[in-house]
Amino acid sequence: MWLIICAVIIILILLVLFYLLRPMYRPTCLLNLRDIHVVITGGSSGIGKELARQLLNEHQARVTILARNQKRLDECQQELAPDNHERLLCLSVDISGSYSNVQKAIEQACQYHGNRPVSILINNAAVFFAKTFDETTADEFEQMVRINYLGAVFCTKACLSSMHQLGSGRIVLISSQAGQIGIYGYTSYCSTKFALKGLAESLQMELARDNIYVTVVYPPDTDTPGLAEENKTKPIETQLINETSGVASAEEVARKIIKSTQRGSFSCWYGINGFLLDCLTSGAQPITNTLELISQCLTVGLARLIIVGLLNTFYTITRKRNSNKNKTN
Amino acid sequence: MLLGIILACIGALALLTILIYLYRPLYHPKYLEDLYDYHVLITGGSSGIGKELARLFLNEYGCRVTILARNVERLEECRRELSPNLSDRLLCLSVDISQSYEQVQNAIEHAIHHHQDKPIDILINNAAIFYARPFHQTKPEEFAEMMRINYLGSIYCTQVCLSSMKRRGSGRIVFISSQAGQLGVFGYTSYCSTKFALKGLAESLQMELARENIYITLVFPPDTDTPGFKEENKTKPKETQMINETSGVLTAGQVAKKIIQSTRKGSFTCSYGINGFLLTCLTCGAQPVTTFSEIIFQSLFIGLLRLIMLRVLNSFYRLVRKHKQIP
Repeated sequence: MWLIICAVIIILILLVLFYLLRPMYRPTCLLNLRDIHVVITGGSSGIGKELARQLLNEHQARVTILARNQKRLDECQQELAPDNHERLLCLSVDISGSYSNVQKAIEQACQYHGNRPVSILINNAAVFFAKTFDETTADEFEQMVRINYLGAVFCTKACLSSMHQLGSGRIVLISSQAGQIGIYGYTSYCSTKFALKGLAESLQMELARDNIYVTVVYPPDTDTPGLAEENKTKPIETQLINETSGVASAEEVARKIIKSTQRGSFSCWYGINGFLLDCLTSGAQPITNTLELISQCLTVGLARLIIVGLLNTFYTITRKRNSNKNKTN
Repeated sequence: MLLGIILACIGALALLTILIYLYRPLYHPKYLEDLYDYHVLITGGSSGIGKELARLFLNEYGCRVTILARNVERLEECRRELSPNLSDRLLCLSVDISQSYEQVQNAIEHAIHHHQDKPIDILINNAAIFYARPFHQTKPEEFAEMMRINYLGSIYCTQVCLSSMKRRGSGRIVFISSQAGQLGVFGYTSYCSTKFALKGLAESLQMELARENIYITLVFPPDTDTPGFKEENKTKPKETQMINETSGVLTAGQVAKKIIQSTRKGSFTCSYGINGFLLTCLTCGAQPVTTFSEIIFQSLFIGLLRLIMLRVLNSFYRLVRKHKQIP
């Protein structure tokens, strides 16, 4: 008897909680991406190129790639759409240069794709390298902020009017696990990726009422030409720290990005490490389904304990390298 | 029976020792007892929180203070107010810290020379601009300007001061962020990004500098009663105003006092009031800890705080939806 009453009370409390803590907004799942206009910045290599490939071949979307290097764009066009030219447009533009250039490029792209406004914008263009704070020049800090952050801001601004016209849209910001945790050697990079999170949280609060949804993606180290380049000059401390997590393929990263964008999820993470990091740094992020709510609240305390233990290891690694350096001096 | 209890106690003690070892604070900053004659550099120090910091450092701690700011008039007023007898303990320099690294370098060299060749002991990156405006109404140049002043300016100052701090084997670097650097809010797309960037910078930088005995403090003030705040209120969107009403306004003096305390302790974060404390706990993410109580409280209560925050966010989103203007 008492057991039944307790059970009923508990169920009532849970129902009230679920009501009070219901998701702030519910994006419709975009099941069919056929003929949807997707803009991908930095799409001529790495994750961006994989995204373009899957969107063209598996979803029959119409894709515009914005990137700087004309040669890489040409190779990309040859590789991705050898006979299907009209669904793919590759434009050479520096998205961090000036807003009017970005605006012109987006207008050109919309016209090319049969006057289709942009439905999905994937802000993927970024530079990254690992270098200690004192070895990073002022110009490098500035360049990284311009490309990784301002470029994304300019593209988002340029595409928003399209999306308002359509009454819907998806904006994807490719961050990084380095946008969730600060690591030795990534002072310039982490700042730009953390900035994207701040942008996403505020932007989503402004755009939810307009049916436009923001997704922040946190890939781990991904097997791309960019990573190969970065590894050439990575400080040893950063290398040792990064070894604690694995390397994902560009293909699997791209696949999950598309799925999360279709769902309109606020964050897109990879693997168990990614899940724990997302719970840990969920902070004041919005949620789009109740399962996220439950998993985050239950896991975040434990995740905090785990990360502090892990941070201890990282700090010890940097201290050990320092004493080695001092010995050789 | 007794043996069982004894073994259980020993087991528990062993487990506790292991846990304490695994989760010990990552570094132990020395408490700065005596700040007399310390050279403190405050950017944006001619008004608001920066000016209060300068006042306290000069009058209560006997420090040597250098203020960097742009507006010459305000710097003059500041000088007259804080150091009426023209003591050489206060130096006010007009420089735009966001323009170029070289300008910042020259200014700081000048300051060190003025203060009897004392290198900077404490750097307070306080200079910032802020206003609340919806994303589509913020111009591209405004995004760039805010990043330059709020973020790049801090980078330049930190880089210049760092080499002397490393040589001396000690130093404190303070970044004044904001509660808007912990959660994104309607109308603050440009501002939140710059303040979140400071957090990413602080976390990575601390990992590089802990072994050099240089400690970083990230400050998260709530709305503070300053000329900058009054200016911001003139053009704040209605939605942002209503959201901000949920938290209070502090005086610049209160904010400055706690900044100095946290800097002396070398704490990684500095927050205000119960809201500030809970918000810092919720958004601690992968921040370093400097005391045990932080880690215990955080891991026990973050889950609950996340629930509370989701409820708060729900009300913010509903507020924003209600205020949608039909075009």
